[in-house]
Amino acid sequence: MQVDSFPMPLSESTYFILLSLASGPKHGYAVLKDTSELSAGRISLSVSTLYTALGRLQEQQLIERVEPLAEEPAPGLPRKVYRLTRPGQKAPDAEVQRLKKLLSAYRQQLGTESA
Amino acid sequence: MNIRLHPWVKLIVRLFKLSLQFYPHMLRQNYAAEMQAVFRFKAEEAALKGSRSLFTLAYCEARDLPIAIISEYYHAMRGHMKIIFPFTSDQTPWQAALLSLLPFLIAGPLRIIISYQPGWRSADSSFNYFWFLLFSFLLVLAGFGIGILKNSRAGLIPILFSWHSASISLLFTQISSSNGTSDWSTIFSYISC
Repeated sequence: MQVDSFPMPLSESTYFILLSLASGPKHGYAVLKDTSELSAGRISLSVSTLYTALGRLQEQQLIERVEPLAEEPAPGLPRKVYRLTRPGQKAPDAEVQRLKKLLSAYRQQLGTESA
Repeated sequence: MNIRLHPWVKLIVRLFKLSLQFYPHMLRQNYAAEMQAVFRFKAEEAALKGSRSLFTLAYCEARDLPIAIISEYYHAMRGHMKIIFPFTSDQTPWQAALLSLLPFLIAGPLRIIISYQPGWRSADSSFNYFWFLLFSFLLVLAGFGIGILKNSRAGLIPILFSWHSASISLLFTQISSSNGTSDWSTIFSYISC
């Protein structure tokens, strides 16, 4: 399924990467930390997986790599940061809407509110 | 963070740097330095927590690395194929599909026409073989025709039709000549026997 030129559904790691970048531009290491925190430790991305995902997201034009605007990163960390593009800002919302529809269908079919 | 505290960090970072050589050139060019820096930072942080944490990091990376490398090569190959065959997508346009079939559609009849000689019989001249040929011919022709009509390439129909008519009539001639006659009723009686 393709919504607004980005692939749906988003994988869980992609969703958390986008969610991490929703609060502002970040470098790779900060994204790694964020994904782990946002998923309550359930998702722990390796560096290779993270950069494979970042590469794909850049290709899909959901994120872009830019020079940091204000503050310098910690010594040893890359200077370039990633930030969401306009479609990238919409992607997590679209994913949430999709999941809501699934949940709604589930509730409708099973007639329960506890799900 | 002090990297000298943990000699294993140096080794693991070096191994990681080495493993980056296995990635496709494009990814290496774009991200290798960044990946190395992030991994080094992560390794130093893990080393401060203890050896176990450091080895867990190394294990997770070693586990994910081959998958990431294969995935990158596959992705790079797909990207390359899309450059060579720009129509290769989930919804292949009819023109591309038809064009890809064209060599086969030409090669089959061409082979029959070139190798045809009066009285010639193929190695397998059983009735099943004939029906198979006829069925395949009609199937291909129908598919080709629908494809062309969908794209309004009506101009190609007579050419393809005559091409295949030529090959199928040669097939009939082959059967009839083996029977010493070219009468259509004889051909059909020959087939139905």
